[in-house]
Amino acid sequence: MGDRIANIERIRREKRLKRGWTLEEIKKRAAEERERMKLEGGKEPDDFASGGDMSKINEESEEDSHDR
Amino acid sequence: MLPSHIEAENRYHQLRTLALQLAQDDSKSQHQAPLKFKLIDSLALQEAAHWELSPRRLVDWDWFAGYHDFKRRYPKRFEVALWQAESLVGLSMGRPTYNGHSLRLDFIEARPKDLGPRPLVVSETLVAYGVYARLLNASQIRIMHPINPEVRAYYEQFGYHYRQEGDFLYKEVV
Repeated sequence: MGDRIANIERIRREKRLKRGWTLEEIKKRAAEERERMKLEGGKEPDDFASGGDMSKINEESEEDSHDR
Repeated sequence: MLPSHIEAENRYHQLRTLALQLAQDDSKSQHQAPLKFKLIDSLALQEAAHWELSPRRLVDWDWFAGYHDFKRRYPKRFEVALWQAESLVGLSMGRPTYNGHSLRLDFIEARPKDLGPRPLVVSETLVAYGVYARLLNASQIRIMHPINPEVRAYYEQFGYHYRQEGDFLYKEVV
């Protein structure tokens, strides 16, 4: 049963990747994600930053070695 | 600058603007003082320079120089200047991966709390990245280089998974 559902999810996802998202779907997902994050997210750290070395942007490779 | 670069800059500017608009529309009912999702402009960069006054700031990023480097290099980038009540509360920038399968969030910083209260910046920013990822039809969002375990754990609460090789968290866009 679980495998069957996973297969259906995979097929739906592949179809969507082929045709893209409609604006209505994007809006709906944004609303769902915002709600979910409100429930799932704990307290945001008081001081928050995340990322690499901003002074080395020009030295970075544009290619992503872990790209699919 | 090559004509193809200018063309990409213009084309993706429209997508960036649309993504910010969609993220903002959906956030309207969520906050007493509405959030504004904007592109990074000179005003935002001036405001961000004030963050250097905070002794609690975790990074020494120069947003002015960094943004201009990033902008010049990546016409397909995404960027968010998050405002509330005329105050800048967050900045971020990212870009699609080379083959376009994923959207990266390369840098994000929230205004340090000692400079004033602020709304949730990370989750709001991630909503906007989700919108842009879908407009590009990217299949994954990657958050690059979490700076410490607390930050990494915070992202994991939202269903992101850490990958040591490459030092990023990822989540499928579904």
